[in-house]
Amino acid sequence: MTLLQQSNWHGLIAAYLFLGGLGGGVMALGALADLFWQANDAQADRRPALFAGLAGMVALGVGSLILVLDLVQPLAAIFALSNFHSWITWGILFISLYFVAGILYVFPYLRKQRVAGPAQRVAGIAAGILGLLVSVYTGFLLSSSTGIPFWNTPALPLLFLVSGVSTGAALLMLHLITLKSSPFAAHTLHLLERVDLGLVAFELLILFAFINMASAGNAGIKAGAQYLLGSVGFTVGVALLGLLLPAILEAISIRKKQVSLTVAASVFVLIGGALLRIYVLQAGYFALPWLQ
Amino acid sequence: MAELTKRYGMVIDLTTCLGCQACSAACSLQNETPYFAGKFRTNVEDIEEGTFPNTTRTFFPHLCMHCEDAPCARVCPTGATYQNADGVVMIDYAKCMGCTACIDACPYGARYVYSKDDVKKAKEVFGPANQHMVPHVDKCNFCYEDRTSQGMQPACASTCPGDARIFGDLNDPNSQVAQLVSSGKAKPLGAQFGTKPKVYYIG
Repeated sequence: MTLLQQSNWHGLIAAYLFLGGLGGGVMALGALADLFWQANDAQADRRPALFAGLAGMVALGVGSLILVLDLVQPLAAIFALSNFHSWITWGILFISLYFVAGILYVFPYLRKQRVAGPAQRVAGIAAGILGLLVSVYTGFLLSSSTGIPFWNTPALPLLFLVSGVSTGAALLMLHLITLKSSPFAAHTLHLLERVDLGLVAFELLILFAFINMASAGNAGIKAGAQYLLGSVGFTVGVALLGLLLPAILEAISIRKKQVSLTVAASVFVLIGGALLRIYVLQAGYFALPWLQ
Repeated sequence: MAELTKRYGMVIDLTTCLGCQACSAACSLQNETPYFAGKFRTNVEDIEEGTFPNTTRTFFPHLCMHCEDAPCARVCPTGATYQNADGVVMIDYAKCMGCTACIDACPYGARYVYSKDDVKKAKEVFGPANQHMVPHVDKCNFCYEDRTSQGMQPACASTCPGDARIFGDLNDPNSQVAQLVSSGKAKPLGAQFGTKPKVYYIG
């Protein structure tokens, strides 16, 4: 049995998968906190929403630009949206609508408006939902690859959604700790840290279940699992430093409220999220049928 | 779905393949593909197995399997990859944006990037007005436009000295391919993928 490692999708696609998950996640959490965790009045603090919206759109914008530049024939992208069996078609749709809703939601805050009108609230909720869809789409993009057994599983959309939202929480927390005298920022930081602890724990469980299943699967998916378990970058970089350590730091920080622990946890979550995409792409092993 | 009038398919007889690669050469010239970059729509693998003195050598020709449920067409966002009325999985080069999702979708490794560099080089090798004026993801199309839709055999089949490639209409019960398939002599490769390939193998 000869197994080959896929070489079609690597560095740039990994960067996109990370930025897409991050941009989707931070928008979803920013809108959630802004619209549901504080009163909609003149005292509302809109800085976290502004940061989440703008950072999310920058991340997803850069990620999408990378994807377009990686195309063999970028001009033919005008024909996309013609096959609704294709996850890329859905991805382009989600990303486009994300920017429409995101701009409608964030733009009034840029003009120092404090109270969000009904239309703006709807746009904010839509931007948050579209953020989640973009994040989960990054997983569906890979899991629709029928030729790559390690990707072609239902675990990836779930894993990338949870990881995307977690990296979004990490980025938003790094912003919130800079807003020293804002009660809303302190409250949101407190809640987000708990949310992220749950997400990281869930992500560890998904990863464990996925690799546990893959280790007993067919040759291609098994090779992917073995590659990950044999890579220090994955076992130490993703599992230990990117997930387990932040979970411990967050658990301590929730009790002791130490900003330095939150900063460290958030940075590790972001690095772990980026490494996760790189390693999942590299775990794409397959066997050509005539070599079986 | 309308009844398909034809359903083109191929049977490859592994017992008569000589490994001469005439099929690859004929295909490259017929379809003006980037052989100069080591990329082929069809190729013959030379598989050696075992240790001396118990060794075997197999020549294994492969090409696009023209799957009924083609995963490459399913993931294609622009509709550049599609199945035509005769069951052939085709590519509209002008519509392909080259996202390469089809490469990872195909379990048969049938697809490759006809890159910008390949297009440039093809102009020198095949002339300034060849079949590949824009970069795209390429694969076999059973020589549909220039040969099989005109009643001819694909270039690989007509050039094969061992007659290892038999091309025909699987919907025509009198055709050799249909009879080899219905008799159970010819079997699909990688049936476990569930894509219903229309290329079958004997031996």
